[in-house]
Amino acid sequence: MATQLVNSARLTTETFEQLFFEYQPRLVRFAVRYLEEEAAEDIVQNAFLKLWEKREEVKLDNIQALLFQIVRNECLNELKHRAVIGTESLDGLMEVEGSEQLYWQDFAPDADAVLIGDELQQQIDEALTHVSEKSREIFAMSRQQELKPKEIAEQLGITRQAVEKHINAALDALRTYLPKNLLPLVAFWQVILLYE
Amino acid sequence: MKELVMYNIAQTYFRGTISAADEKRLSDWLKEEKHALLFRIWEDEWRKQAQAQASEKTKAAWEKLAKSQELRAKSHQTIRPLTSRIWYAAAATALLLFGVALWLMMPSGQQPFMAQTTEQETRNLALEDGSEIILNESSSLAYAADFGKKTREVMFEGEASFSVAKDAERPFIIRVGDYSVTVLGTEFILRAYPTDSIYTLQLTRGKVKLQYLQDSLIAETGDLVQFNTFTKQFRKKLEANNILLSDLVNRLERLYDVRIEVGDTILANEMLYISINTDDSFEDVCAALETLLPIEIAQEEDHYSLSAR
Repeated sequence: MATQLVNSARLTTETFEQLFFEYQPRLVRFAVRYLEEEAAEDIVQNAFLKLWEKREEVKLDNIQALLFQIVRNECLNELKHRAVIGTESLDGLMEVEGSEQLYWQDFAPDADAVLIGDELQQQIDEALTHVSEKSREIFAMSRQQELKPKEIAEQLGITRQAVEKHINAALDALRTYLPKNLLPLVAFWQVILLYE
Repeated sequence: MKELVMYNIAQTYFRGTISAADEKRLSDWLKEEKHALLFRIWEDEWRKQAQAQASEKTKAAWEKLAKSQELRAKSHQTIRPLTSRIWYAAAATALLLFGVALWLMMPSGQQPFMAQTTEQETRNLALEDGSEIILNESSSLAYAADFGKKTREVMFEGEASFSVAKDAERPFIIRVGDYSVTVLGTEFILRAYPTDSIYTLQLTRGKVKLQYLQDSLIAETGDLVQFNTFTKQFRKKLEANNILLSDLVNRLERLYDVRIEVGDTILANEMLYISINTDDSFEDVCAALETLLPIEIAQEEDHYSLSAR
């Protein structure tokens, strides 16, 4: 009940512009921790667009928490996509410098921080439980040690086709089981509930 | 003194220019409740001047956002009542529906033509060069105003059957992102929805060239080509419904550059339904055929012989 009573003010064009100038710089800085600048800016841009499209449904209190959630989830989704197509080694993520914690302290101070690298790794590990241990091992050789299928085949004494089969099995699992982080209204309610 | 240092760090945080080391410092400092309160006071102060102090980058981003907001507002009004066969695209809506790539490909000052189908609609298009296209549901096709003059290039998304008029001077090129199909006079069905993980092209007749960046592949009558959008790899399948064994043999001969002699067999006039992965070696294909059909394929000195089992 309480959530329906507090601050029912709606987002106007003016407040939207104000919000943009207030939060865009730090949100881009957050996203740049994981992605290159162009992708980071696009994600923040889209987060604001989403917010604007949902303005009828969104309430003004904790709007920054919602924005942060959208940006964070979109970063995560982009990283997952890259994990699947293999353009990103995920190892680097674990050692992103600085403090992700800071952004949680600012945007959602009462929530427990979940680090992007941890969440991603956990979801990938989970997705890969759907394939054989052999496929996991070969996939790791291909992604973490960046070995070519031919090199793996030589090391393990199997055919290149077999190696590719294992890698494809792992990729299929990632494609099928890596969940997309959903938003925006679900997260909005989550955020609200945290604050009650 | 410490506070002044932190004040300055907080300003870099608000402006989005904070260093990694300072992120850590500020985060540690904020763990104390009275510091967190102080931080909110500074934030209030920043809020008042955020717009005035915005960087050029942020200002540019706002301009862009404001524009796309307008576009979206417009597109909501105009997308629905789409009835004409090909419509002269209003710049804004086309841009949003189709992505920026289209815009980039168009020579400046030229409005693209665009045709689009909704979820429950198919549409026949007759292009000026004589080509005919049947757009399936939720698909779009666009091309520049000077289509057919020097080049025949279209941007495409979705599923459609193409019957392309022959014109050796101006190959017909279909672009789907970085992936393209160059048509050399032919009929085929192309399926490439943005959500598809595998694009497919089924060639009914003729010859096309498929290209992704440096990779390319030629497909001929009867081929089914798949393009995996994750691995960015092509895979060719020979897919034949209702094919005579003798025709299949001809195809295999061309495909693998071998000679196959068909012994006297009643199978020669048999109609076959067959799908072969043409990445496979000829030996693999033979093995598969031997399992499927009552035949034997033996290697002779300079050719293969096919006989009833």
